Formats: sequence, structure tokens, C-alpha cells
Amino acid sequence: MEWLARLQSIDRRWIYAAIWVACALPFVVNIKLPVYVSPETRRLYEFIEKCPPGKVVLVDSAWDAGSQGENWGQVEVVFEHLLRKRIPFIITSVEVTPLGPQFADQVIERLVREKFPDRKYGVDWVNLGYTKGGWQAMQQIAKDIRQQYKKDSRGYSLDDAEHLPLMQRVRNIEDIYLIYSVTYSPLEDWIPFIHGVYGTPIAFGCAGIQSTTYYRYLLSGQLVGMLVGVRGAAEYDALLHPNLRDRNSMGTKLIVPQAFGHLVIIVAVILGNIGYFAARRRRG
Amino acid sequence: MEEIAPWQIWLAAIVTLGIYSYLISDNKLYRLLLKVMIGLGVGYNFIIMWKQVLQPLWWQPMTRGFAAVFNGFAPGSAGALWVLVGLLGTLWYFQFSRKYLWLSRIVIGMTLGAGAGVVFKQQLLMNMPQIADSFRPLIARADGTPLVGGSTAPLSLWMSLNNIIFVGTIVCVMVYFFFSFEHKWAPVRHTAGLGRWLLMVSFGAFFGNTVMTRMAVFLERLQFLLRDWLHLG
Amino acid sequence: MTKRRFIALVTFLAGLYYFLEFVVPPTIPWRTVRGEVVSVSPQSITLLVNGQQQQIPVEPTLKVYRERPTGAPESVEPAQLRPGDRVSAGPTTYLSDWLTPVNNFFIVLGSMAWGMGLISLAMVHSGNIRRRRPEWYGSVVFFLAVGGGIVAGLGYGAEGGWLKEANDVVFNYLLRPMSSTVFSLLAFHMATASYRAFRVKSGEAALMMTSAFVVMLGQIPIGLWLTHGLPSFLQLPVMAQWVLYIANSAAVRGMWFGMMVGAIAVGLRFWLSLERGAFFDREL
Repeated sequence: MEWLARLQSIDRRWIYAAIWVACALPFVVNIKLPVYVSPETRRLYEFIEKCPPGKVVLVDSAWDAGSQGENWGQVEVVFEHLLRKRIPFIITSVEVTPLGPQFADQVIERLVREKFPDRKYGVDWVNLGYTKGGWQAMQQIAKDIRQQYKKDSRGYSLDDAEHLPLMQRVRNIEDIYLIYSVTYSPLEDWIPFIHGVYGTPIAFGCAGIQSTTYYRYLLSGQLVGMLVGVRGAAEYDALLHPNLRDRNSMGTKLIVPQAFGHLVIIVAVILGNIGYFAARRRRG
Repeated sequence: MEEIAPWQIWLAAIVTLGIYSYLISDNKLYRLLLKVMIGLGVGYNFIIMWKQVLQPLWWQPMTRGFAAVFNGFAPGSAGALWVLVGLLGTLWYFQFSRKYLWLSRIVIGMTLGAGAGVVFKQQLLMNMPQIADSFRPLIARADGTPLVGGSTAPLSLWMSLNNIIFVGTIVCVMVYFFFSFEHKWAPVRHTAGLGRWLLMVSFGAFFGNTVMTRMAVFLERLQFLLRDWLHLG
Repeated sequence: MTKRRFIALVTFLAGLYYFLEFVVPPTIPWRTVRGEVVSVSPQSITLLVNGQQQQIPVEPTLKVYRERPTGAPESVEPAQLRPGDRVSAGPTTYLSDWLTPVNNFFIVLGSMAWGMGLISLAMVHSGNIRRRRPEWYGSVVFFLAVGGGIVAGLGYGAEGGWLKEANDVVFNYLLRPMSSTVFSLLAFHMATASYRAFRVKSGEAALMMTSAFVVMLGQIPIGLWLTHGLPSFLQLPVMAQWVLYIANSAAVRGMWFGMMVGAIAVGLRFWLSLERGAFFDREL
């Protein structure tokens, strides 16, 4: 029984090693497993499917290295969907991080290079770069996008019809079909200041830890859909590619190692409790 | 996009492993790399803020305004007034002065005041739909409408049970967090106690999702090390 | 005391605009007419009000709001109106007209603080070097890194050249890997913290652990694999969704309603300079 009691005092470095080994295994062996598609992911997918011609999606890609494990996959799958359906989109980053638009550029460049070589910057998408101002910036974008952005991230004026033909038909919130905010913790200000005032649908791509506070918006209809963490990206990938072999987004690649990591944590908690109760029984 | 040079991958791998050396024990290499990271981040963001925010929204309108003023007060001269915002903005930096600290409190007060003024709109627009949605029928039909005055959909025990749990949880949790008076009266005390139990379910969900998020960041790094650096898998 | 009163006045005025912009209607209430558009001309708008036609002259101070399908009104020019539109029209109260300039003012004002972080860190690290504190060479490295970051930032948005290459290397192969690696250390800390601290010492802890395990397993493919043969309501993904949508959302709403009241109360205290504490009571 003494060895059971010692289960509650395993050196932390053994736990670190277990995480490394368990999470590395699926990468080396390349395991893919089917995923359950949650309602919030499906709603976002179906909403984008119904996008009418002439409308544009605004992607608030406000994430950086700290959350790229989750957010990279979330923008990747939605960008792929938008590029596939030729729904034009505008990228920006409102308030949270100046690095967001650069990360989004990397995701798109890879998608265009590998899957959609005929899509063109300025026609199919525009990157407006970073802007500051939080809810004030959101209000400006809604009233007149040119009040908030004079140039895109490459330095072209928004009125430059040669380089940015897409922007010639985007003036304000009327031209936007959906706002998809992707970051560690999307600004809730989109909801009162844009959805509350103009009724524009909003969707979030967020870290798992933040998603628990956003489910209430799904219930009230203030959010049209949500991608939650790595699994949200993997689920969306499953909707884009019904055949398991065709899925290779970041979300799909990380979901199985994630599963193994969860198992390590669960086993560690169980072992800690077994040790705790064994020690208590010995004392008692 | 150009081919990634091997030295670039090695550079990223070395700094990654250097930081992971902390897992064995705190060491000088880790602390040095942290300082490099903070320095690079601060310098980089400094320039991005100028290029993306201050230059287009303040500097360029201001310089165009002054150009119009020197051009005989041509249209657009009002842009020169942005210089006043620049002067006001310098008050932030009196945070570093003991004698003139109060000057920085002016801009802090303005920013706090603006934020406070907007909180009414923000909170009400965010939460009023939530409050409206929380009034759910306790005896519900399959499509969520109430038994009386609803649609012709059949009565749903599952929907009714969910609504009872939903509304009950909101009430119990709100009673638990109401600290303005003591929970002496037995019904209030028991309701608050039930609220605490129901909160545990929520905290368990928080914990589960926290694990998911923390793992995801590590997995992206692990993928880089195994696939991009070591070419395994 | 005069300084304190001046700051309180400035704080109040800053918030007053946004407060009034929210509570005061965009048009003068007793001179606003609501009805359905019958016809529009450059000089006037004809509305059907309570079964009777009423002409509204088009003046510079006239503001017209059209109801959207979602019910939230949108500000439009008279020329954009079509017969059948439901509108409200009246003399403007000017508050909403100034939203853009006021927003821009606060965005720029807030952004002016962007040098504060750099100055603070520079003061700390230069102090380390001057006083030759332990590991002062780290502070030298810090300053070199700031210089490197500034040079790399100059390459942001560049089409080519050595600045762009510097930007690519610093951003992709230094900043991004280091930032995400530092954040990823949390995975290990969380694992050991869970192992050491998560003990089932009471019924509430047991309930929390059960909920945590259901959510952790339900959101990964292994949860689906373990329970796919069971009835739908006993499958882990379905149970996890129920916990997140019903139990968790309701509890979070309960918390957030309390926080809403608290946020409004604290907002009022800040706005009216009633807040107390070390910062607010400090001698000026």
C-alpha cells in the first residue's frame, strides 16, 4: 500500500516526459480519427454556405504566436471555405495584436499556393492590417471603412481600383455578410456595437478556455456560430472534407495528439487521487 | 513564398529548445532568451503601432493640415488641429515624473471617462438579449415554444427538463452571488447552496477547456520540432 | 484640490458624450415623424402616418433612419429611400454625427501611450547595467534585441530587400517560436498543478471532476470512439455538448448578470470620480 501512497508524489519531470511521449506518438505514427461535429461548428459552416453573391466576409484575425495552436487552424479552414466558394473577404486585426494580419497572410499564402493558385490578392481577399480603437474602431468600420483604414497592409490606397478592386464595392457594414473574429479571446464588443446596432451576424473562433463564456451568446442568437479550439478547426475540416484522408488542416493534425495529451492529464489526476486516498487510509 | 533555408529552421528549433530547457530547471539560457523575446517584441510592436495606427490616423492628417495652412488656409486646414491631440498625448509620459504626475492623470481620466461612458451602452446591448433569452417556458414544446400560446409542435419532456435546469441554474447562481444580505433564511440558504453545486459543473467545464487550450499551444510547437526540424512522421 | 476637481471634470466630460449618444435619440423626439415612405423628391419626403400623408421638407439638419429586417435602424440619405420603407425622420441632435471624430480622437489619444512600455523597460534595464546587477549582460542583450525588433519592424509591408528579409527572420524564426514556446510551458505547469492539487475531497469536487472528464473526453475523438455504440444521450460528445450548452451557459449567465450590474456600478463610480483606492486617493 505504501507504493500506492507514493503515487501522489511523482517527480514532475516524469509527467513532463509522459506528455512529450504521448503527444509525439501520433505525429510519428500519423493517426487520424473521425470527429463529432458540434452544433456551433455546423451552424457557422451552413451560414457561410448560404452567403449571397456580392457580399463580403470580414475576418478579424487578431491572434498571434501565443494562440496559433488553436487559431491557425480556425482561420485556415474558414479561409479555405471562402476561397473555395469564391466569397471575397477582408482581413484585419482590431485592437488585440498588431501581428495578427501577418499570421493571416501566412495562412492564406500557403492555401493559395497549395490549393487555389488562381485566387488573387485584391480581388478575392484584402488585408487591411492592424487598427487600434476597440469598440470605437468597430463603429468607424461599420459607418465608413475608409474612416478607419486609409491603406491596406501593402500600402495600397483603399481607393486604388487597380490593386484593390474588391475594396471599390465595400463601403460600410451594409456590404458585410458576416464578421468572423478569431483570436484567443474575441472582443465581445462586436456583439453590442455591431450585432446589437446593425444586426450583422458575428461568429467567433476562440481558445477553448474562453469558449465557455461565449456559449451563452450562441443560445441567444447573438453569435451565429463558433469554432472552439483545435476541435472546432478539426470539425470544420470534417465538413469541408467528408473523406478522412483528404483532411490536412492544422486542426486535424493536432486533434489526435490533443486527445493523447488529455489522457495523460486524466491519468495523472487519477493517480494523484489514488495516492491521496491511499495515504489517507494509511494515516487514518 | 521562398524555400525555407535550413539555418532558419535550426534557429527556430534552438530558441524553442532553449526555452523548453526550463522544464529541466531554471537556467541562464532560458532567462537570456526571455530577454531577447521581450526586446524583439517591444521593438517590433513599437514600429507596427506607428505604421498602422499613429501614422495614418494622426501624423498624415496633421501634416496634410499644416500643408493646407501654409497654402493659404486651403481646404483641409482643420487637420492641423491634430497637433493639439499630439500635445495632449504627451501628458501620458508625465507618469515618469514625481512632480508633474498629476498631468498624466488628465489623459488617464479622459480615457477612463470615455470607457465609463460607453459601459452603459456596451453592457445593456450585450446583456439585454441574454436576459430576454433566459425567460424560457418551463413546459415547452419540441421547437422551444411554450405550451400555451406556442406552436402546434408536440410537448417535449426533454426540452422542458432542459429549460427547468437552465432557468433554475441561473436563479440559483444569482442567489449564490448575492452578497448584499446574509443567507439566513432557509430557502435562500439552500438555493445558494444548490447554486454552488451547479457552479461546480461549470468550473469542471472551464477546467476541461483550459486543458484543451494549454495543450494546443504545446502541440503546435511539438509539430514544428518533429515535422519541420527533425522530419519525422 | 483644484487639480483633483479639474481631473474629475475632464473625466466626466469625456464620458458624457458617449453616455448622451446612447440615451439621447438621434433625432429630436417631439419633432420626429414615423411612417411608411410614399414618395421621395429632392425637396421633400412624403410619409404615410396613421393613414394620412405627411410631407417632410428635406433640410440640412434632417436625419432619416430606416428600419431594417432585424429592427435596428440605419441612417440613410433621403435619396436612398424607396416606397414602402418604414422610416423615422426628424431634426438631428448632432450627437451621432460627431461619433467618428470623437472616436478618432480617443483612438489617437490612447495610442499616444505606445512609448510607455518601451521607456519603462529601458529604465529598468539601464538601471541593471549601471549598477552591474546580477546578469546585467541580459539587459545589454535586451537593448540589442529592441534595436533588432525596430529594424525588423521597418521591413513590415515591404515588397523586398534586406529589410523584408530581416522582418521575415525576426518574425517567423525568432519572435513567433519564442512567444508560442513560452506560452506552451503553461501546458506542463497545468499538468503538474492538476496532478498535485485536484483532489476529490468533497462531493462538489467529485462533481467538478466528473464534469471536467466528460468535457475533456467529449471534445476529443477518443470520446466518440469509446461511446459510439451507446444511445445518443449517453455518448460522451453529446454529454459534453449538454454540459457546455445547458449547465455551463446557465451558470455563466448567472455570473454575468451580476457582473453587468457591477460593471455599470463601477463605470458610474469612475465616470463621477467617486472611486477610492491607492491610485485615486494619491496626493497630486
